[in-house]
Amino acid sequence: MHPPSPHELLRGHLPHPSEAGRQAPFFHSTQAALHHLRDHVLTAPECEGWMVVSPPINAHLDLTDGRQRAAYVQAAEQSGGPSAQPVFDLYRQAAADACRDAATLNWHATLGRDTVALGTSGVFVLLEDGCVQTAYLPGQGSAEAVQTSRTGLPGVLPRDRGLMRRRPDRADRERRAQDQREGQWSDQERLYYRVYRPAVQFIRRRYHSNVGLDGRVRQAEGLLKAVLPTMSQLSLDDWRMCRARVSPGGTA
Amino acid sequence: MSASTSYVRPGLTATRLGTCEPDLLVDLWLDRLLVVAEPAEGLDPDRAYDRLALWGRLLRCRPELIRNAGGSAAWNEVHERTRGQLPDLATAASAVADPDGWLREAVSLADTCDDGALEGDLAEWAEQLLTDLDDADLVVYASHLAGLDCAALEQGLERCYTWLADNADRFFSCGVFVQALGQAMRPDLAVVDLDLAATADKFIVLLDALEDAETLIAPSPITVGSLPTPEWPLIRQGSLAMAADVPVSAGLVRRRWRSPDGGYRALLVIDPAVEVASVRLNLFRGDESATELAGAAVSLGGCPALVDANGHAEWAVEDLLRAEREGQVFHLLVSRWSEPWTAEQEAG
Repeated sequence: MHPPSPHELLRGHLPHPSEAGRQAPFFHSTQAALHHLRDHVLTAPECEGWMVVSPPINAHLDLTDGRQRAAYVQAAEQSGGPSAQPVFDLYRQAAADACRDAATLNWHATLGRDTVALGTSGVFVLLEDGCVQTAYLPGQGSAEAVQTSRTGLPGVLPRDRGLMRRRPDRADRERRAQDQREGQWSDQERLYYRVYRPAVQFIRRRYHSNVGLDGRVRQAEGLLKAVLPTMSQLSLDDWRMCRARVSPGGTA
Repeated sequence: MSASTSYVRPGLTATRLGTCEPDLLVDLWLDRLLVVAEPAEGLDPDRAYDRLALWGRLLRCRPELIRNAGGSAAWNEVHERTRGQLPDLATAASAVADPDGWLREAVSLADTCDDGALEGDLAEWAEQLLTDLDDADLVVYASHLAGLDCAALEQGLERCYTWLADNADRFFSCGVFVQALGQAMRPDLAVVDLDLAATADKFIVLLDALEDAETLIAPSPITVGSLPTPEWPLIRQGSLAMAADVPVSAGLVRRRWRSPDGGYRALLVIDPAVEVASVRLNLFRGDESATELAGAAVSLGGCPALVDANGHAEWAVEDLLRAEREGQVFHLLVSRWSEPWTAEQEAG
């Protein structure tokens, strides 16, 4: 491996969640790193979750502004990565924190070559053969948005979803109600309600999709639900205790 | 969970292996019910709809699962409160369901199955569709309890059931979810509440279809047609090689099949010079590995296997030898198609 030139994105490493002392490369290539930065941190609606997980990102660009995000992605691709270094470092930092949390709380699972981990901020990390393959916020994104960001075309999945409900204005009304509720939340509560709780729900909800008819778990994510708290053990106070355990000086 | 009931089928592989998690479902439903039942200003139609659906779904459950989720007290409170508000909730929820929308989406799912979407994505979507239909059923159930007439909605739902019964295989991707859901049901449901039990009939239809499908691919004699098998004596020599690991060269024997619709190909390479314990079949769609078939059941010479995430299926040579000794015809069957794949032959 050649040393990175000043004109390359510095991808760096993060602690492996299940192998103490091992450092895991954060993506196997600059291209993969930039793709995941674009598809997750810089793609709506997941970017709204990243604003909560890593507020310093907002100092570099307004994640709520689609044009700014698009310009940031374009500049990153044109520069080969270095222009995105500040936001990329924050992305890596959030993933590294997740791996450390997972190691402390045992919120990780391994299946074959894959290891998955979840942190108390709701950041999910997938490693294959000890190298990070992706890091994202479960339950925040949409497969369609990611597909569209990759190809500029709508993906095979999903087409129209949830059509049993005859209320096209539902999303807007829910958003208004959500905004109203969120206005009263502290930063920690916002992280809990907006990102962490939906992440655990998402992982648990997807469990059966990850099991084949042969009874075998298809992806390591399917094993994660066994080590995560159940929904009834997922109160704000429970989460705060977990946060205290993983904070510097916390009791591991 | 081994006792056989209408809702629990111990013969299904995932059920037998214990990988279905009814506790997890109940935990999620209860959590969601507690959220949508939180006191709020006015009655939002969607929240009322969700609340009635989740309430009905938990009524169908084995009580011990609610206890295991640590939610007995909370459930009892919400249960009583919901029962007391049934007329208001049912009225608020009455205009939400759109069976025609569901049918459009179901057709879309079927098209996407044919487009070769990833099994995991399909599973999630099929699970969502099934849950949507179940929600509507449970809201109708609650509306009846509240004395509301929902004949128009029921007629629409009838069309959905008909579609589901005719296209049960489109929901195989969420078969493990269906099995888990069945395991969450109280076995005496039909005795306790016949109308509530009727909302679960669709799962019985799907479980029946799943059992039929697993039977189809089980290692039983296959009698449809016959494939000339001049190369299969090679198996007797125990000299097979995994296709992906061996460059195709002189001396290798390749076996090819094409799916009944012509969209997929399968390739098996046998190397008489190498002795191995297993043999791998590679499945392709065009030039790409058919990873979208991951999880599909496959049978060769009556020997069962499953397509893995890379679009491969693998058998122990020993099993194939036994099948040959037993006189099995080496048809290739994949669970997505009811017909055997067409054999093509090529000597390398």
